[in-house]
Amino acid sequence: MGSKKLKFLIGGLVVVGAIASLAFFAIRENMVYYYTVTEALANGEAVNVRVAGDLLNGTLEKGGIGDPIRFEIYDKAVPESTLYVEFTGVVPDSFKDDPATPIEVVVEGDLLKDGTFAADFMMAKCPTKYERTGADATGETSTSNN
Amino acid sequence: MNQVGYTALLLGLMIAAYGVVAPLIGVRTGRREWIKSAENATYAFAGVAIVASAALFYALITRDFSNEYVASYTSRELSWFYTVSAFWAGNSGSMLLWVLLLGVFAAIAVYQNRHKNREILPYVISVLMVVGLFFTILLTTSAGSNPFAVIPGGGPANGEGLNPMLENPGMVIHPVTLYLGYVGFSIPFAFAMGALITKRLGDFWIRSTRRWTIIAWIFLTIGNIVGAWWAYVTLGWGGYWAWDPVENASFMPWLTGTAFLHSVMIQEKKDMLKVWNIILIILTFCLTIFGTFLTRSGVISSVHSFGQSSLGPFFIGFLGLILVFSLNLLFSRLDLLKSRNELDSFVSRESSFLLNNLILVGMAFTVLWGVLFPIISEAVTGNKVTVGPPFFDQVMAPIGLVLMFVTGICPLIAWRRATLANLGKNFMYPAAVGAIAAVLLVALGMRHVYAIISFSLSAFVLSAILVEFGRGAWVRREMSGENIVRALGSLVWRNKRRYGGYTVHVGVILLLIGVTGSYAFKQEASQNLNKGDTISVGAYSLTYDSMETYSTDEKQVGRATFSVKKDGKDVGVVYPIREYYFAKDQPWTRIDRISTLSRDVYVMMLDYSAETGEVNMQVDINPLVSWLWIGGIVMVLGGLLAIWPDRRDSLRLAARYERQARLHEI
Repeated sequence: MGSKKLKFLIGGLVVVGAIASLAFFAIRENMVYYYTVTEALANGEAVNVRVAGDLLNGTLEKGGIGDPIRFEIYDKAVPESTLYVEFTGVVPDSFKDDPATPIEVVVEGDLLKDGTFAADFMMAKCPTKYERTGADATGETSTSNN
Repeated sequence: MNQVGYTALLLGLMIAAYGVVAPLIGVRTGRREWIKSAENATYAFAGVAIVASAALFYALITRDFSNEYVASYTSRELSWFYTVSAFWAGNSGSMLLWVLLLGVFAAIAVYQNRHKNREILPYVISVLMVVGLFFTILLTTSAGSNPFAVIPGGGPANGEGLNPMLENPGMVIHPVTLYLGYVGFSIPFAFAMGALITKRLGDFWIRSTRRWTIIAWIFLTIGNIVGAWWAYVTLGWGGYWAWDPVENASFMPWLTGTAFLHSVMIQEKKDMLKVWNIILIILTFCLTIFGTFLTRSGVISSVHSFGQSSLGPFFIGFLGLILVFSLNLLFSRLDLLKSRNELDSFVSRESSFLLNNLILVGMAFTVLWGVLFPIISEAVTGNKVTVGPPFFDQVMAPIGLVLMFVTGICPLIAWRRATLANLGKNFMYPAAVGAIAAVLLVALGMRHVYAIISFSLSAFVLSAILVEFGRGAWVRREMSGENIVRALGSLVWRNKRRYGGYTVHVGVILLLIGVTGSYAFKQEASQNLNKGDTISVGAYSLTYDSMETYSTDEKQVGRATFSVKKDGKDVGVVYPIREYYFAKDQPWTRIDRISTLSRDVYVMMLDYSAETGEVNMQVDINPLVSWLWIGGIVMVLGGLLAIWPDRRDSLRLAARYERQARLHEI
C-alpha cells in the first residue's frame, strides 16, 4: 500500500478511534443500572440507579402542592418484594392510584441505607392503554431532569 | 368504506408483488412490455394507496366509530384539524402513510424517468415494490396493524379521543415530514441498487437522485426540528431534546444523510468515494427502516413507543434482508467501483469533506451505540442498564465542536492540494474574528469552556462564510459592473447549489448557538406560591397575580396570571395553565413563555389548588433558544435554494448525460 494511502488510513483510524474511545468511556461513566424491585432490594444501598415496578394500589400519599409524594412499588413476578419510594419532582400526568388501571413505574435515584428509595426522576406507563389510545406519547409520559 | 379501504390494501399487496417480479421478467426475457407494465403497476400502486388513504380519511371525517382506529384516536369533541391528522396518530395509520408516500414517490420517480435511465429503472421499480410489499403485508395480515379493522357490534357511541399532548400543530407536521424524509431516501437507495445490479456505476444514479436526496434531507431536518419545538412548547418538561430512542432514530438517518449529501459532491467532482457513497445510502435507508421500527417495537422504552406490538421481529427481519442483499451486491461489484482519482493531500477540500463524513457517521454510530447498549448489555452480561442524556451530551458536545471547525475550514481550502500559504491567506480574517470572540467572552466573564469554544467557533465559521459571499460578490462586481448588492444576488442565483449549501451552514451554526446558550446558561427555579408571592430566577422575578378556574365538556382548567419583571422593569405577562381531562382522567400542563432573541422565560404551573389558590411553579430562563428555531428555518431555506431549478444547470446535466451515454458509461 502506498505511503499516501497509509497516511490517510492512519488519519481515518485516528479520527474513528478518538470518537470510539470517547463513546466507550462515556458509556461506562454514564450508564445507569436498571433493576427490578427484587434485584434492587437484593443489591442493597446504591446511588443513581433505576428501579422498575408496579404501583402498589392504596399506598400513594400526596403531600401538599409541590411536596414530595410517597408510594410503594412491587415486583409483579414476586409480589412480596416491595419498595417504599419518596419522589421529589414533577409527577408524570399518567400517574394515579386506581385499582382499575395498573401503573408501571420506573424511578431513578438512590436506594438508601434504610431500604427506602429517594427518587428524583420518574416515568409512569399504563400498559392497558397502549393498543387503543397508544399514540406518539400516550400511556407513557416522563419527566426529565436535565 | 372500511371494506373498500381494506380491499385497496389487498390490491396494493398484489400489485406490489407483481411490481417486484415483472421488471425482472422483462429484463430476463428482453421483452419491453413487462417493464412497461411494471411502470403501470407503480402508478396503480400509488392509485390504490391513495384510495386506501382516502377511505381512512373518510372514516375519520364521518366519525365512523365502528372503525377501531377511528374509535381509538378521535372523539366527537375533537376539532376537524386534529381529526384529520389522527390519520398518523397510531401504528396502523402511520404505516398506511408510509405506503401512501412510497406509492406517490415511486410513481413520480417512474414518471421522471420515463425517457431515461431505461436500464436501471426495472430494478428501481422492483426494489421500491419490495418495500411496498413489506408494508402492505404488515397492514393486511398483522393483528393490530389494520387501519380498517371493524369493531364487532358497531363500535362505541363516542371515540376515546386524541391524547391532548398531540393537539398541537407540531403534531400534524412532525410525523408527516419525518416520513416524507424517510420515504424520500428510498428513491436514491433504489437507484443505487439498480446501478449496482446493472453495473452502470458512473455517477449518473447520483445525479438523477440528487434532488430526491436533498428534498428528503430537508424534510428530515424539518421533522427533527419541529419535533424538538413540539417537545419544547407542548410536552412541557422544559427541554427540546432528550436523546430519547425515537428522537435518536430520526436523528441518525439525518446524520448519515447529511454525510451522503456531502460525499456525493466528491464523487461528482472528483470521481472518488464511490464505494463509500453506496455504503452511506444503504446505511441511511436502513436507518429509516430502523427508525420506523423503533417507534413500534417496544424494544426500547420511550415516550414515543406505540407499545409492545408483534411487528418488531418483522422489521428486524426486513432490515436484515436489506443489509444482506445490498452489501452482498456491493461486494460483488467492488472491482468496478475503483476511483479514478486519489486523495492527494491531507490539507485539501476532499480531505475536509472526508473528515466531515467520518465525523457525521461517527456521530451516528455513537448515537446508535447509546441506543443499542442497553439491549447489548443485557444480552451479554444479563444486567439491565439505561443510557440517558448525560452520555449523549458528554460525547456529542466535543464531536460537534470539531464538526463546527471543519464546517468553517472546508470552504477555505482549495481542491486537491492546498498550500499552507494560500490556506493562511483565506484563513486569516475568520480565524482572527474567532480569536477575538474568545478573548472578548473571557474578558466579559464567561468561564464555561465548551460555551466559549462554541461561540468562538461560531464566529469563525460565520465570518468564513461571510468572506465567501463577500469575495464572490466583489469579483462578480469587478466582472459585470453591477453594484455590490446586485452582484451578490446574481452570484447566489447563478450558484444556487454552493450558496444554498453555505446558507445551510449558517443555519446550522445559528442552531448550535441556540443549543449552546440554552444548555450552558440555563437557569431554573421552583417554588410554591400563594397569590401575591414572587418567584425569582436570575434577574427575573415573576409575581403570582391571579387564578381563574373554569370547566368545559372536555376538561377542567386552571389558568394563572403572572407578571414578569426583569431588574424591576416590566417584561410581560404569562398565563401558565393546568388542565384535567375528564374522559382520559388525566392532567396536563400547558406552559407559557415570553420569547425573545436573547432568551425565553419558560413558565410551568405544575400543580394548583382550586380552593386555596396555592400553586407549584417551575420557571426556566433559556438563553438564546430562539436561535434554534431560526437556525432551523435558515437550514431549510438554504436547502430549498440549493435545489431550486436552474436552467443552466439542467442543460449542463443533459449534455453530460448525452456524453456519458455515448461512452456507455451509464
